[in-house]
Amino acid sequence: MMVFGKRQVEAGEPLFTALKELREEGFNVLIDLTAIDWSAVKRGPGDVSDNLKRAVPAETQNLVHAIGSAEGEEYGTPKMTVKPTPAEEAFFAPRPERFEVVYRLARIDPETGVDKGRVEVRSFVSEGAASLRSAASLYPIADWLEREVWDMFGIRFVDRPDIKRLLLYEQFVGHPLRKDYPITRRQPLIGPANGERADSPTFNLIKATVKYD
Amino acid sequence: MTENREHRTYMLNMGPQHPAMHGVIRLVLELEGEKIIATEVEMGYLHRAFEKHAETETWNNVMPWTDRLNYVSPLINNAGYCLAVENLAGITIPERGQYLRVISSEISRLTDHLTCIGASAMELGAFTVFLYLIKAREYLYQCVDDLTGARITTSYGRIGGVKADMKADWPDKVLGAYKLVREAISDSDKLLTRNRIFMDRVDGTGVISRADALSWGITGPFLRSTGVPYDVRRAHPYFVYDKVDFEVPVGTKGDNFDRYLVRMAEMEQSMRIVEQCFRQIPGGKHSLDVAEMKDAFVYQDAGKMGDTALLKFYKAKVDQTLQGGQRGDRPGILSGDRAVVMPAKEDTYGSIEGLMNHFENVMWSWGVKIPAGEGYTAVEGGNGELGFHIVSSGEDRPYRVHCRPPCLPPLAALPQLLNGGYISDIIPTFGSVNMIAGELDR
Repeated sequence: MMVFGKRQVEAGEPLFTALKELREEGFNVLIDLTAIDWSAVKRGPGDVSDNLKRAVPAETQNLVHAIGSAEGEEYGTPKMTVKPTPAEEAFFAPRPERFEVVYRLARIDPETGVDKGRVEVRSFVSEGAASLRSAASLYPIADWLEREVWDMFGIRFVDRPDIKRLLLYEQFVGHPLRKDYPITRRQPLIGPANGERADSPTFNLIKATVKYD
Repeated sequence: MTENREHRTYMLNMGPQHPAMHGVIRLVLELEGEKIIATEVEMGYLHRAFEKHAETETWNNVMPWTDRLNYVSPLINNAGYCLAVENLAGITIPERGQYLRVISSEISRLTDHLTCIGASAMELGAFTVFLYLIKAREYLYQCVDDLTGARITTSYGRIGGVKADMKADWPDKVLGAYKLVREAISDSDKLLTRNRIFMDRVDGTGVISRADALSWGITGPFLRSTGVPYDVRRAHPYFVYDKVDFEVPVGTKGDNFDRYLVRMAEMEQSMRIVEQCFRQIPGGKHSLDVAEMKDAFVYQDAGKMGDTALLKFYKAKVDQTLQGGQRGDRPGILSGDRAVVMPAKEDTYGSIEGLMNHFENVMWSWGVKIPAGEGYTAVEGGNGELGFHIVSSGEDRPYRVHCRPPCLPPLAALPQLLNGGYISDIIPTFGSVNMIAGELDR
């Protein structure tokens, strides 16, 4: 796994300021921008047996074996008091907002091509708040990545010319990577609006601005 | 009327049905004569909801979806996804498996570059080159077929290893194919590299500066053509890339010709890597070790006595006769850990243990479970940094899988490359992006 320095910042101005500072520090590449919808994390870390069942890391396996042998019999019922790992504790801790955006930045030396360190800037965003300032002035690629995040999650970005869907069509209703968007939902493909001819050069030209709600 | 005429521009819609747009990209161009004033790129015609689908499938079942990301180099996607999941789970696969992943990835990189150069040369009129290179690609696809059982939809990766070991004569087959590939590349090089028609189209067109390429987030051959030797295999070595010797070719001007040259040089490096891997590859298992196993009767007795709490941490060692006497016929496709790696298809269809093993791995809430957490892992794809951001909530399926498609940044930068140029420059520039809609639209 690539190692990232982590920065958790408030959405809005502090996020933009953090990105700007990092840009000035020499983080010249915005590798990735994505979001996570945390609203479907339900299960707590209590169900240890489930977590250990498959593909367990070596140290956890050893732990189980140690418990088994400590009981003095190979197949005795051990006292399963395996605590959640720090990673699990962190994962199942309550989160302040539904969405989290993740900016991944890298500092690539143009001469040697060495990646001199990466940093991850994360920020919680509430549903429906237009609290993220666009990073397109710092990294031009942010333009498209923000469009994708808007398209898939419905997270709004302000302070940018316009926002339009990147992967889906404008008439699409909803944001599919939200956890409450059902995988089985079908949406009709919509023909030209306003009696526009399908072969007119402006048909399906992405309309200037999308009105939020 | 007359005052307007001087500055009159018109709009041209290029694609998605235009052959050079591969049927999946639409460019809306504002033109003044043949000069491009403004460009708008529209994508999403091949959106298949990869990320949404991945959330509904078990960890291993995502594998076939990854084939369809960059479908000219599916083996790199397989390896990248597996590596990301394994990193999250804290699993390291045996060295032989890592070598097999490197070998398969490099063959895929070669097919990727062959397709890119062949197709973009054809779009510039060099149909012979296309035929030569696609024929060369076909030799490699046959090798891929021998290794994985499929030419394109390989699904070769498994969490914890690879689907199958290579056969004993496979390296010779690959090296034989390389001989033919080298011939084809050399022929194409003679046909293209100093060809006046080709040079006029690619030399000095689609130029991007080093700083621009970086701020657009461009990686891979596109970035290296500007002179930045950034390569994930070098910057963040994964698998066994730190044990093989290879060069990272770079360009100087960042134009279409440099991107062509970088890809040509990378193909040779790819072949070098595979040749070294064949010399270095150790024996042993290609997938994870078998988990702690107990004789079936011990297992059974313990169960009868009601000692069931720990049973699930052990595997029952089944009698040889039950496993099937014909196992010797297919040693190559036996996998290591039954709990992690899918059984060979012969086992699934041929024995009850294999069938149960298979079902356990694909049934909901029964398959591989990855500890809760999240992480980002990148590998060097055909077009650059192919990253997977994996979030697990400890369940049998991903909470979220995000793919960083390496050809999205150059496509986003396309207006900057095209504006101010001519219509004829679109074809070589777009060709050098090597846009693969499968990974772009996901």
